[in-house]
Amino acid sequence: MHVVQLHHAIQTLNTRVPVYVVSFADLPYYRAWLNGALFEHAPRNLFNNTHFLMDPYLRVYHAYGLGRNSFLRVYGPHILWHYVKLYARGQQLPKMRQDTLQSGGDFVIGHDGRLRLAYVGKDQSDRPKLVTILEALRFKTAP
Amino acid sequence: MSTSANISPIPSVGQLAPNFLLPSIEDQHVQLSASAKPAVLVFMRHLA
Repeated sequence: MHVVQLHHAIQTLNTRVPVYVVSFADLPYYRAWLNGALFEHAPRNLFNNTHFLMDPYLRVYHAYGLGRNSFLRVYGPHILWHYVKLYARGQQLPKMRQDTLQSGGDFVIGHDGRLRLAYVGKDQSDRPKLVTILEALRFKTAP
Repeated sequence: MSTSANISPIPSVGQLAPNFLLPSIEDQHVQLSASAKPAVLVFMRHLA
């Protein structure tokens, strides 16, 4: 899971990095996902510097250029292959209770409020490499 | 349902990050660009 891998990677920096995880899910579903999916994959203290934020009307998503992907892009070969692998491992396929076409993304905001990284995935499984995020966090602006 | 009409272009590196005050699940409000340290912003897709 990207969020868990990201937090493990950030730990290697030995510094506190604020993380904002934004979802358009409603509060009960968001809480259920945190308790039932995220915290099963990682200890809660891994997320001590993380704020779980809500954007149910997609105001912030849209301000960051995050719209909806096309159906063909979302359910293209990569995603179908991912589901085939889940099924082959005997894992339950996720139930889709939300807009599955909404895209996500990863951004790094510098202390000066300027973006150091802006990454919007090509499809629903595409996230930036963790090393790319870490490099953006380490980057220092000129004095 | 979103439409392309109200979606901004993806902001570029070096540009000021769009700043918002967002509610958290703990009923606090957090400003995205107010951190003294670099921060990571992850927009989730559907939660599964």
